[in-house]
Amino acid sequence: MICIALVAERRTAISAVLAVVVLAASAACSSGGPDRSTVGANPTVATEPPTTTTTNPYAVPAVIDVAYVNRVLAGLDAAMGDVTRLILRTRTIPREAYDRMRAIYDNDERLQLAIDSFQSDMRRNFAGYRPDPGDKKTTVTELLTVTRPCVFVRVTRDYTAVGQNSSSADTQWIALRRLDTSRDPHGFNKTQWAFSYEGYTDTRSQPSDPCVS
Amino acid sequence: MGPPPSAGPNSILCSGQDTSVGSNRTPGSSGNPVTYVSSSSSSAPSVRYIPYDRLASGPDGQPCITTGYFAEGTQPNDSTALDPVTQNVADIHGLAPLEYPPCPPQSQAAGQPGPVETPSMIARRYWEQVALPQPKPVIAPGRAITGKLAYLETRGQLAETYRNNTVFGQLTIQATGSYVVAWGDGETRGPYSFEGVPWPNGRITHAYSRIGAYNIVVTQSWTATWSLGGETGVLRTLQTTGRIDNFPVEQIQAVIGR
Repeated sequence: MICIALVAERRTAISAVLAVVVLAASAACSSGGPDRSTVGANPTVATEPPTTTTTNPYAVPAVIDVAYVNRVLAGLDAAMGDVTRLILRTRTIPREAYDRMRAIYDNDERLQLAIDSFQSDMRRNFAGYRPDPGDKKTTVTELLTVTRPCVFVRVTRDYTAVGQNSSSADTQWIALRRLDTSRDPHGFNKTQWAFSYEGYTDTRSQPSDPCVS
Repeated sequence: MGPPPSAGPNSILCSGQDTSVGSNRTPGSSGNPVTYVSSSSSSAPSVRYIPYDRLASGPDGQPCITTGYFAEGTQPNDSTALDPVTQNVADIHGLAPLEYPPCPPQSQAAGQPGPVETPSMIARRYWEQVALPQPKPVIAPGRAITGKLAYLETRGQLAETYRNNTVFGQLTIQATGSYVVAWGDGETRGPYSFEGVPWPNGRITHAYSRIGAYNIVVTQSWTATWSLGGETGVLRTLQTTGRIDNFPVEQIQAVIGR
């Protein structure tokens, strides 16, 4: 349902863009009306139809910067949002939710933490959740360690789209590692990165760097 | 008794604290695992740990069910009072069951206590091993006529009780089955919680509209509850099947003789 809605929104957006382009084109034609000589001097030449090139937004750039990590984190937030909505809708943890989570987390310890958190919330009858939760929003505040296989960052997390009365600026730490594709045979995780750490220590301080250990 | 289970996990809404979570350790290796004293002081209040079906990532990466415990009263948002013997949170909140097999027994690590076993895990593993009755479907007289009802006889069982002696006492599993029939022509009907019997009393019937040879599949879904050592629970749904392959459906044509 969520994916369909997104596609529908995207189509609407594309339609809107096309409409703007057509309007702009017609405006350009009308504004050029008085000087017809210039039209003859620059006749329209048939050209190749424009080709659409799709670039992978998650392809690892030469320099991994804040913008790139934020893009990856947004993808992971959306992936986790899909899991949350699936669990809320089915009122259980179906196999698909398990598979999706396994694709989001780099190791089974982190996966288990997420499962336990969901089961804890289920026992509370999803108290505090919005009826139709969105995605949490993670924003990098500092790049701590950046290598091509591992990124360790400090972030703030905004849960207001997911829960009622939730924190809008929760400081946490996240380590990402390149996704082991054997954990995602269905291709759920498009970012090609996975959480190897997310959270904070019990004193809410910075944990030891997972990219170093 | 061993150490108490660790504190439960955070909500996914504020997830992050790097704690050991959702212990799957039993409070004790035998006896009733529900009540447990959390402090070394004899005057300290006792903490009750409530068992639940904990979804875990198995050693092969496949999901499986083990027993987890959470401390009663540690979840302030949940005002529901539980009776752990007769109720579980899933029932109260209308949650759908976790349809996963039990995790394999944990092997004993050197220097560690013996493998963890709970009534729930014993019941789950036994449920996976029992030989459930299979339907043996028949449609008399071995063929059907288009436009006329075919009466399917399920020739199975709708209920069964299994018992087994365990270290916690006698395990009892009450199993109940229901049938779904795929008639082979694209139509699937059910579930039926009664047996199919022959004409004229049968209620599992179907009228084919075209001649042909159809593969009929009768799937029986088994739900079950277990009780052991004062605890009860629900087991995952298992299925058995019976088939009639190449079931002939014929046509009657009127012939005018001279």
